[in-house]
Amino acid sequence: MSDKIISIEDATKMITTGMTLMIGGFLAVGAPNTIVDVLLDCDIQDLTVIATTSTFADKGWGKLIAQRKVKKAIVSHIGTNTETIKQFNAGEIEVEFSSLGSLSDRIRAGGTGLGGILTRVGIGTLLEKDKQKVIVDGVEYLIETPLRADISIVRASTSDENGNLICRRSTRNFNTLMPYASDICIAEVPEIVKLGEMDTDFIHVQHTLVDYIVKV
Amino acid sequence: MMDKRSRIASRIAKEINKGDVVNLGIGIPLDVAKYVSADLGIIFHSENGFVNLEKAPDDMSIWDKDITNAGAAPASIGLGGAFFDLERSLCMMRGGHVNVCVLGGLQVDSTGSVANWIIPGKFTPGPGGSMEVMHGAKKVIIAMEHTSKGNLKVLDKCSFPVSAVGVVNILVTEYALFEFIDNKMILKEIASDITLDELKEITSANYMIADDLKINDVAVS
Repeated sequence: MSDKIISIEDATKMITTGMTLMIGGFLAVGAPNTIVDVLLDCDIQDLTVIATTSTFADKGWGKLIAQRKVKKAIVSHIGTNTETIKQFNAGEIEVEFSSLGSLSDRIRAGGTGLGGILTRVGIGTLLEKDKQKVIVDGVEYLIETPLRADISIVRASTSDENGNLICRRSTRNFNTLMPYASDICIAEVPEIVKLGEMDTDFIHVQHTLVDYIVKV
Repeated sequence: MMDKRSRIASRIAKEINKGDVVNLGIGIPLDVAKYVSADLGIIFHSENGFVNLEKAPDDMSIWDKDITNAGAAPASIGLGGAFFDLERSLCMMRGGHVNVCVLGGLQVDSTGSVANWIIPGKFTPGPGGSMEVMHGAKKVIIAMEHTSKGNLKVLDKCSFPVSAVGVVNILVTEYALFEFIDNKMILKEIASDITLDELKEITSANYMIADDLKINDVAVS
């Protein structure tokens, strides 16, 4: 048995107050909701969370916001989580909005050794505030900085004992990208297969990027 | 007679052509799919990670629970479709590989700028992936009601924070269709249940009227 396979308690113990997390998923679909639910009962606070959206107050990692365990969210959208909206309007949570494409390429930059990305997206909007601009071939671009996390928590449909991951259908979302951009990657999976049982041509996350596997 | 939203969605459907790869935002834009003829072979892009988006099966017992749309609602994938991750998805949107997008709007102004991510002091949902597709798509169509609770929305200059500057190609409301060509806003179509003067009263944007202005008979649409 691979020593990457650990209990959900051992996984959540690694997550401590003040950490920056990346959490996979798209509106709580294809998301590590089982690990998140255990985190609700952990004594942690002041988390910074990087994710597609802040999901819902009662579904997905947005529950951590409802429990006031999150001091900052770096996301593209908060409109579906009534708690995030409420805390944001009251100045009780910091939200760094990043349009979804810039967010994804900031994560890619953080995970692939790049110093940032150049994009036209956000030019002329509030999102250009405090950001450097450069001109390339006469076109003005914003510099969007890289993002990294202490721990990424992702969800896959299947892992092998090594941590090769497959995310079925429309559940790849950020699960395939975030493992690059964190010091430690934890994957929750409902199924673990033996080495050799996966078609090596169709693996979405390579095992070298995955540190721990939690069977849920 | 159709309600406002159906008038907007059905008119926008006529702007979508054979073979287009189309991204529909939430709200009125999603209704556009109802009015697009199936034999045109339109390919719908689902921002969360696939092309050939189709509605969920009528028999939900055969729905694959790992297939949802960008609103996290059940969906399915058509024959010949493909899945990908969010990075690929947004690259498609920003890179011009989704050629038409239909998005909702809070305000549109005569420079072709659109505001759709902040209602100051009230609601700040955020941009999601809409800014990428506005920059990438060759045809950016905004679907919105002409006014909101008496407030004008088609303005000379957006008062809400904009989402992108000068990117809108077509604005469709229940009363009018405007095109933005060479930095000019042009009224191309007007509904038969409003006069030009009445339209002007609910539109603070500066626009020109097309020589070949078309009047849409809403009673028969």
